[in-house]
Amino acid sequence: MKRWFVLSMIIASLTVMSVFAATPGQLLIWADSTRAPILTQLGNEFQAVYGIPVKVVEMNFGDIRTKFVTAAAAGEGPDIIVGANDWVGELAADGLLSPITFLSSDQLKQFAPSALQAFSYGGKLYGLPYGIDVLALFYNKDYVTNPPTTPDQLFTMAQQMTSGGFYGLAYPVYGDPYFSAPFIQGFGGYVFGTNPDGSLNPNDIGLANAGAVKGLDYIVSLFKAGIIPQGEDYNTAVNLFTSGKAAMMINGEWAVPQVQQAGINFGVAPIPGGKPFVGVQGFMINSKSPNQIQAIEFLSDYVNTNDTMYKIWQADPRIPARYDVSARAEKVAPWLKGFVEALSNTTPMPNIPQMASVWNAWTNAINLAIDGKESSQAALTTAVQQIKQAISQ
Amino acid sequence: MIKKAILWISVALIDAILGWSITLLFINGSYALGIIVILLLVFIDYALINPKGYPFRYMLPALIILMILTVYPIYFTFQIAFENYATGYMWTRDQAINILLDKVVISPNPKFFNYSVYTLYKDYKPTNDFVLLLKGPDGKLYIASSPQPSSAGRYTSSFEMLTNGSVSIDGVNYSVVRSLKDPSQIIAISVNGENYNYFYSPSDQSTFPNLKFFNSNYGSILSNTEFINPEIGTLFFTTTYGFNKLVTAKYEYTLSTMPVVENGHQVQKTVLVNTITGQPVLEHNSAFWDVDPSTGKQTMIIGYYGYTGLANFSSLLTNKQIMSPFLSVFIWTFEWAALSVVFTFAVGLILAIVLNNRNMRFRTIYRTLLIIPWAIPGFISIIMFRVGFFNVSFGIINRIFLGEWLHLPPINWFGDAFWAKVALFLVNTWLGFPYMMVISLGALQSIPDDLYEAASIDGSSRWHSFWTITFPLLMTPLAPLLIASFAYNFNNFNVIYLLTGGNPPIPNSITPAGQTDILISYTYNLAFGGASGRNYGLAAAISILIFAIIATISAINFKLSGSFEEVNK
Repeated sequence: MKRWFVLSMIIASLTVMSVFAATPGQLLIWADSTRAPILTQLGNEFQAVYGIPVKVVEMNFGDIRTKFVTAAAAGEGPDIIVGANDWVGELAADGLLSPITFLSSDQLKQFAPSALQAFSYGGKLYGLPYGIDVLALFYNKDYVTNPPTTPDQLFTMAQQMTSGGFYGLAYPVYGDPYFSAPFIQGFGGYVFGTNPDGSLNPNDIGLANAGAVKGLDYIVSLFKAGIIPQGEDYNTAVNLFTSGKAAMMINGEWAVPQVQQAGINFGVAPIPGGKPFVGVQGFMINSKSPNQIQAIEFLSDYVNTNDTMYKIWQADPRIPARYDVSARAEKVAPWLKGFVEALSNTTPMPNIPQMASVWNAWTNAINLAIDGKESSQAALTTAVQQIKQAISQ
Repeated sequence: MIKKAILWISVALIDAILGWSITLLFINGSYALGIIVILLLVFIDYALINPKGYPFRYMLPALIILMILTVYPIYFTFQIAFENYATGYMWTRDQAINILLDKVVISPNPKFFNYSVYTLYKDYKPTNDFVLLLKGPDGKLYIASSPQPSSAGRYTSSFEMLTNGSVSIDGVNYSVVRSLKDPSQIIAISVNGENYNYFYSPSDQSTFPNLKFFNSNYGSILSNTEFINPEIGTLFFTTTYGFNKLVTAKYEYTLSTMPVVENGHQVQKTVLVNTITGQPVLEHNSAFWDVDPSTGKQTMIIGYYGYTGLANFSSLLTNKQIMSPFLSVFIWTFEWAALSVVFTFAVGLILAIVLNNRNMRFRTIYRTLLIIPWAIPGFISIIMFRVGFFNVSFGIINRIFLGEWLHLPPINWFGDAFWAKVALFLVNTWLGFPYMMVISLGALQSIPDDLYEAASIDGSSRWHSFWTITFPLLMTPLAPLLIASFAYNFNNFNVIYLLTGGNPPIPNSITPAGQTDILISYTYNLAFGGASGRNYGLAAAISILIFAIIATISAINFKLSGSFEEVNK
């Protein structure tokens, strides 16, 4: 009995080591559970025409990045991963990604510029984008006929509607810089400035400039006026809106299914005066893959077509990165229009590795200001000092 | 007899499998794990074969798990602590060189070549024998010979221009066979008299049925082939143009031997050379650097990891960013671990004494109910507490207890350092008291009843008997467990990370740190939230440091309480 146990332990440990390696002549893709089924289907269709088998391994979204780093560094790992643009900085700095060069200038024009910018690092494109996440203003049409167009209008509208358990605006900004970015950047703040060549300059941090302070002051004023209840986190914000207890909500397109299921008669408009981050999802190619050209055939001839991109949108309804695809999708999902409009004033989430030292400091600044422990100016100045200190290490 | 046979067969099987896995591990370069498996193999054989090793058989499974799950990770942590393993330095030096040698770069002003594939058929089926017909930018035709393996995974092919429909490459004669109906169509290529038939071309739709065969049989060869012509240069299938066309390109880096000044002497050395600038690649600070010949500016191409000595430890101690909030974090970590033990033990002991009363009815039911907090996975109950109980506007405590019953203003649980700490102790006591209760119950039962009888005859009060009999007798078996609990809470990352996330932040600190951050959560943020991505080397160095701190504290504790001696008696 014991011997069998020993035996099975060793066999198990050996098989675990060899399962996920790429093999020449076969494409291996790592994707999460939303994307894996549609990619399996597309892979089968691709194999029928091109004769290259495509194997899709389903993993947790967060695991893909960490496992890819370890596997690819050992010269193994998949040929293609499906992931987010903010992985690009770390993965490209490690030399784990192959630049994408197969798109012609006409093909590049089909994509939303922010999507391409988001996947670029050091002047090179490292991912084929397909879907975009962006924050916008959801409004309940039963309470709001015309969505506000300026931050002041949003404030007064929300304040008038807030009373006794009903809130004008659901906005889970506490502890979440991502949600604070629309106003901080909309009023003139920025995370990193840009060099003349368009790349990000980690030594120019604009999170404590006059605009950023004004933006954070605006957010704090929403709390002080009681428009946003203290301690409102993401789930409470969504619950308030879906149960009809909030007239408006700032959230991304991923919240749409929940809002639809709750039967809310909703519309979507850009955040008044807001400049949110965009997060972009796309395909990336392993630089050590023995099947680089085959991977490119799959992506350029097969994935980057209107039909396939539309199918991916149906499976994973983010805002399509290609204009022709979003125009097609808007016909069945009119709410996409508000998000596509919101895309025009956005900034890609910085993908340089220095961004990692921004989040904590920024989160602390928001919390200190909202809790009233420090002024916006003081909290943001400290945050910028912390970021500079971390980057200079 | 049969028993012996089974023994020997299983020994042979285990040896074969372990031997095979050792070879695999060494081929993969995992020497550390390989050596550990060798030690295991020796030990297993000793235990199974030598009669003296018989008792060890019962320890084998535990030892194997100990080796794989404890010894190996500890060894690995120590190893990484002395390396610069971090984002940007993820490769070994050899791997880094290979990556550079594999890079193909398209030439400036590239020339494009269209191609068609001609295949030798056998029994009316295509074979893996093929040649290419290339068409240059000026319309001239070339023959590319069948790719031959040159080095690991790479192939080379020579291509030459056709003159009057034929050419000879490396002693093989090639000539084109044109269609009789339409002489512009080349239907076959004769290779030393054998006809290779027209098979596939990316610009000819009628050949697309052959695409599958092309991809699965020729694709992986062609994608690694360098097509060489002494006058034109080299052609590649690149990641820019895929299999659509060939383009003039070259390997970006090559190895070449050149004179290098080293320690004042000129020596011949193999170095990487950038084929575009012609400059040798520099190597310093665990990385390769390209040099711009006109400005002399260096850009890092790729980094690699390796032994860096005490660099991680010294950066840990000299780093202002790490050391400045260290003292306050360290003190709170101490308070946290010590008070957690005090509170959980106090609550657990009181409940144990109550439940130990034999006159109480339904004792077992209460005992079972009180163990429930221990049975629910911590990360579930912690999140329940955070969202359901302590939320400022919607949590039960603020809304119902304080708001509706007591009419008190709400408490900002995670925005205020004092209340955040109160919340942490409340949750950790809830999570930890069942364990203390269970161990106290066990220890209480071992105290003989006649001691209490004697005490009550002597007129001692219950309170007095507790402090003079129960408590001292409990401490003997429980002290080591309390010290273990202290060490556990010292590193209790889950509760801190899931409940407060270290919040509220310390205002004006030089580095982001929270008032409820303990050492492990604080350093987690430093090592994995730092400027340069993930710094595994630094993280490993920190864990070793924390290990040293805990080991010292525990050793002093054991010594002072004399726990070990007492138990041994």
